[in-house]
Amino acid sequence: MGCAVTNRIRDLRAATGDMTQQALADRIGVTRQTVNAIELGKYSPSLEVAFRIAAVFGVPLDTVFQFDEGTRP
Amino acid sequence: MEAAPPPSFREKSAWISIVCLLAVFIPFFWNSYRQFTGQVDGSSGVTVAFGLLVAFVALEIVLHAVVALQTPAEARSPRDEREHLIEMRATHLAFQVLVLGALAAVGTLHLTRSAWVIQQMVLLAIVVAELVKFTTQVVLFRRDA
Repeated sequence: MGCAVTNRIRDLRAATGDMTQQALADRIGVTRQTVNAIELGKYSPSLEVAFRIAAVFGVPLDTVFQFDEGTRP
Repeated sequence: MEAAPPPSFREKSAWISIVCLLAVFIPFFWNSYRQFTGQVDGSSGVTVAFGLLVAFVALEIVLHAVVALQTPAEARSPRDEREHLIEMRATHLAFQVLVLGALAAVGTLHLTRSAWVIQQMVLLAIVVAELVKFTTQVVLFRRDA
């Protein structure tokens, strides 16, 4: 489930007073393992979860996720 | 950097199902083989099958209860989207294995008219498909960890 979408979740968690993966997982309604897979770029979340993550950090979606346009499907 | 998270409840559940399937159905099919080759009397077959079925259900319940007690909140929570996706991919693969197994079971009609043999083949196909499903789940959970 590798993907061309990168993210800054780890940085944003650190910037928000060292929020743990479990705390973020609880707020967006997924497991800690799923948060870890998203952070490592091994799983691309649905739009709904992506928006929830952005909402938790109070930033726009493209601050959290970036799409590598050079990557072809 | 945070350490990699421990296996989720769903992954542990898949491991439990693999262990239970192997623990119960290896002896079951070994007994069936011995029956087929005439090494044991076939009259005990139903008793053995019933006993192993009860053992399978009991093992699944006890092991799942033990794991659920360790992480009760996770055990109660519904599957998230990634877990759903992993389950769907595993079930998709397992279905193909089941179809192949069913075709193989139909193929045994050309070798024997024994309903018992066909029944064993269908059961074997179901068990192998289940093993493929749970093993695929574990592989996908591990790959993303």
